[in-house]
Amino acid sequence: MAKEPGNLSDFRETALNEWSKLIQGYFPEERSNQLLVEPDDRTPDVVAVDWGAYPVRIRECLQSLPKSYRLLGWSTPQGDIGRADFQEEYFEWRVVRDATGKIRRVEMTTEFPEYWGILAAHHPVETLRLVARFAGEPSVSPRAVYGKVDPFHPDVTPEKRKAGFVETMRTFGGNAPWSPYNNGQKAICFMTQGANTMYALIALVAKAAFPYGAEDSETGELRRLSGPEAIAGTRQSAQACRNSDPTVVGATIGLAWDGRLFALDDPIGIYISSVQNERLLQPDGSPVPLEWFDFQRGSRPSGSEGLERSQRLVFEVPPGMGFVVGDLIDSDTDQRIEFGGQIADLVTLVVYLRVSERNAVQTQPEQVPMPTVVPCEQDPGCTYIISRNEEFEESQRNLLAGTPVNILDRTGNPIS
Amino acid sequence: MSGPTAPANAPTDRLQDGIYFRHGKTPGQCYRLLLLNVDPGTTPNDARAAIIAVWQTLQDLSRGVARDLQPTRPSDPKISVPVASLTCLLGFGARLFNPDLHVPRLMDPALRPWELVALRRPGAPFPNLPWALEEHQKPGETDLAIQFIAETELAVNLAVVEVWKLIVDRGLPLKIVTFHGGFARLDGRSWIDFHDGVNNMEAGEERRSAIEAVIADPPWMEGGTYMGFFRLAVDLASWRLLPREHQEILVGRDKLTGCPLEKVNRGPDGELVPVTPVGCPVSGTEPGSLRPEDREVPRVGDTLVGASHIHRSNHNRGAPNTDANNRIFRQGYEFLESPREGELSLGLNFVSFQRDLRRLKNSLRLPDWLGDVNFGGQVSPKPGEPAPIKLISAITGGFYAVPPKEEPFPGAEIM
Repeated sequence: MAKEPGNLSDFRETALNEWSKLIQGYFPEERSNQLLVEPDDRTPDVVAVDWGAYPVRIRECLQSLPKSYRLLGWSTPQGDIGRADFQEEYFEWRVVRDATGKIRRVEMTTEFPEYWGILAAHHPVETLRLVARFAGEPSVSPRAVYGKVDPFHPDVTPEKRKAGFVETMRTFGGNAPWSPYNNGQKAICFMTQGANTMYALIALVAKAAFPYGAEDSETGELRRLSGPEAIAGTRQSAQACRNSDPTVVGATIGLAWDGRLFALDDPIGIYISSVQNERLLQPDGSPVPLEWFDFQRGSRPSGSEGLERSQRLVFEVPPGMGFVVGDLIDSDTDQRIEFGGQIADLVTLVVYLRVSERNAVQTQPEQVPMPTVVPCEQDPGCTYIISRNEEFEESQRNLLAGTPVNILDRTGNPIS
Repeated sequence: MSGPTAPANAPTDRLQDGIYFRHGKTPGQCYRLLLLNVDPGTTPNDARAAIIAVWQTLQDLSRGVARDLQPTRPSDPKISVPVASLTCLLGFGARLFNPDLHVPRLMDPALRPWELVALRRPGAPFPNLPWALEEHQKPGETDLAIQFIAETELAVNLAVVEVWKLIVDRGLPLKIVTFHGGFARLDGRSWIDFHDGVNNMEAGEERRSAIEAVIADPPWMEGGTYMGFFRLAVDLASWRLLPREHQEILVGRDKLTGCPLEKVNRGPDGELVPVTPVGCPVSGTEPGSLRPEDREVPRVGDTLVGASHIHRSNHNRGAPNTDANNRIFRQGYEFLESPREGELSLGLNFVSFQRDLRRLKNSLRLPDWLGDVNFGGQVSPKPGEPAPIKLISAITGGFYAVPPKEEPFPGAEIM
């Protein structure tokens, strides 16, 4: 039986069974013989693959860090569009501002939507309690979380609960979720950007689990492909130019190349491995203490034992300090904190793999022609990002002019 | 009609000379970093004129032309000074953009690349990289930095002195703050006796993709790069107290051959036995004999080896063009000096070029990289395993924007 992400214990037996089956079902039947569905005695060692949580592709396409911060923070009365469309590194956030517009709190998550779907299907009371906790409210209306489905009606099945929950709390077509409890207005519970799923993570590793190599054009030697090369030249389930995908793909190919057996660690998850708290300066110039970052929803290492498995991070200045997050300075840029993306930039994520020794299995390199990697700033995906950014900037001008033409309804049509 | 065509082997990039990333190019043996400030009260036009004069003088010098050795009589011979492949590289520090330090302001502060900031702030520069003792510290952050590399001490010293002469002769509004010097070790080893830079990237495109700023953020830096400089003191006395096995586990390589460690076994009495890959070294004992996989070593599962310096400094071992891998191109030079009677100070001028300064900062700040140890090893070792060692401290350091080549000097478009 698979463990719950972060070693949580939200599930009872039925939900845990469903979770285990879901994980197993995500692994393709025809897969590399080096990739195990779960770790075992043959894979005792841990390899941590980490990457920055800030969506670097957006900056590359827009050729500007400030512009990318703005787009990633695109928020409308219908929810956080920047998050739904562009927060793509297996990490999403919402920002809470005070009346003057200064950032008061940033809430971040790496929780999988699939996990929450099962939680909502089997444990509605716990689900509503958890949502209320994240929103800082005593309770929440089931309608705001399950939509038209009454999760407590005697005839309602887990499948119907899940369907109602998914319809209400997840993203469709780049729009923010309908529910204010996961569209950033009142709370953020789990990831909703289309690529931030457990399915995507498993597919990413499964497709990369082969010893892909090519003849180096400069040295003439056969060598393993890097992540960007593999994405360009082999069939991968990965997006080029992100931080996460090429890094995971490259690391996975490296393990396969070395003849290792490997598996995603149990519990599977995307974990918040660290935050660069000391980068942030208080108004008196002293660094922000790590304790202001509240690591949640996962087990923490103890002494030299254990791994960091938090899936939620909440950052705010403690009450009584006389200032808020928006008064802090990022010492890496000397800029005041104005966007959630600046806090995301402090965060490092990790996925753990369990591996065997080298040459545990005999492998033959799968040689392909050396792929040509398109520079990220010329990536075809940039066209969409640039176009959406123009749309965003136009909407901001319209908002300033008092004519919000760009607000969309649930189906994506503009609200007149 | 087409215009003149560039030679087939002409570089397609605009990176300044002095970054030896191309095939067949190896840095000279001698290093100087000259640090200059613009005088208070200098107007932007005067500062620009001064930089033009300095840069032109250095371009002349790199062709062997020294100002004081120009013919002044009809019978004078043409003199060329031996500059031994001298290269000059110009960088802008964050200070240049600071309107509080320059009245009238020299640069629009909005033109400062966001990540180009002062290194010197309260506390240590990075969580586990402390400053050296105060009496040993030196200036490292100025308006301008000019790097000289050549094959001889004479050439790099000539460059420093030519700049000084020019400033004095023309009354240029520049002040030489200091310079830092170093030398390359022909054996490819560092003061701690291990091979250094073995898993630096392959020459050519791989290096370039880690070095060149490819996005226009800010536009004037597109095609340029960023330089990180640290003059690091090495506590060689403490290092030499460690047994060889512990040194190798902290570094991640065999001390003599340079072969990477694959794992660490326990002997019959619990002693640590570093294990290198079968077939390494191929022959001989120099890094030239290492196979590609022994230079650019793969990920390891062994906890001790995974916490070694070579794995911490290149944690993901991924592609140089992916930001998450924090790849930087290092071009370091050792130093040895006697700061005062009875004292010996030695260490490394750590010089790196990267397309984005956050790569360098991340690798020095992130846990599991070099953020939670000073050099290498585990944070909380078990009994018998190497304890964390405070091996290096920063005598000085700074960050510089290195604009792409341009006439009349790199970065001229914003001055």
